[in-house]
Amino acid sequence: LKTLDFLVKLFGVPGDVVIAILNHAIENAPQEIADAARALLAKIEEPLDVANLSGALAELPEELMKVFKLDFDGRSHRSDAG
Amino acid sequence: MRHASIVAGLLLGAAFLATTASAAIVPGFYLGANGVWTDSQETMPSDFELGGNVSVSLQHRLSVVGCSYYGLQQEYLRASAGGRYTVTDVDNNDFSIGVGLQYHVSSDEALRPKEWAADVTIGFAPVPKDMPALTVILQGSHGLTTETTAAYVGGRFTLGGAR
Repeated sequence: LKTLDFLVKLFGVPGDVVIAILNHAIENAPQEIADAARALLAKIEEPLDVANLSGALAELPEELMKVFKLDFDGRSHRSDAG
Repeated sequence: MRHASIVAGLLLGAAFLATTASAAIVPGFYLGANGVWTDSQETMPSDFELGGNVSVSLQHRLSVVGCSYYGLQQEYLRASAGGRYTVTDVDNNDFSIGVGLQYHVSSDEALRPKEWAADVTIGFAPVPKDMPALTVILQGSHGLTTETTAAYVGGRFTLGGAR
């Protein structure tokens, strides 16, 4: 949900439009998924601090590298032997 | 003349990278053995090769690599040299992946034509504690002229320099 809120802030999509689209999707979803989605929507908390958006974007590559865990800063690589 | 230009270009590129490096270069010297298979068995038959590799890590992700191998069955000598962008797993420094471009030459152009080839290489140490000098190499290489894809599976024994 924070990601959703982030995208809303980033691209300027009105929040009520997004919620309307989600509600429409929920209405057509299987009962279990709809219930879970409604529970998630009910938990929407405070929006992200837009003032820190540029800082968040600047940290994105580092965060991505952490995800893939390929940020070794050494200079001795096993694959260089191939 | 064309090959001399290519070699000169590689040397100039290496010199440029060396000048931009923030620390001393890290060389590596390896003895190796490969099994090689291609998708064009008629023109580029499979073989078993013995030879060696050299690597020079210019920056922490950029390396110049080269090798020379002798094909035991078809009796050819081949060599290649080029550059590679390499990343290593932060949680396992004995596992890394590199993407590169190398120029290949050989003593038998009918079997191993001269050409540029793009490659992807995985290197890992199967038993780093007991045998730190041993590296297993899995490499896929695609010739840009012949459009032949080759798969190499090999072992390397580190003689010195890098692991």
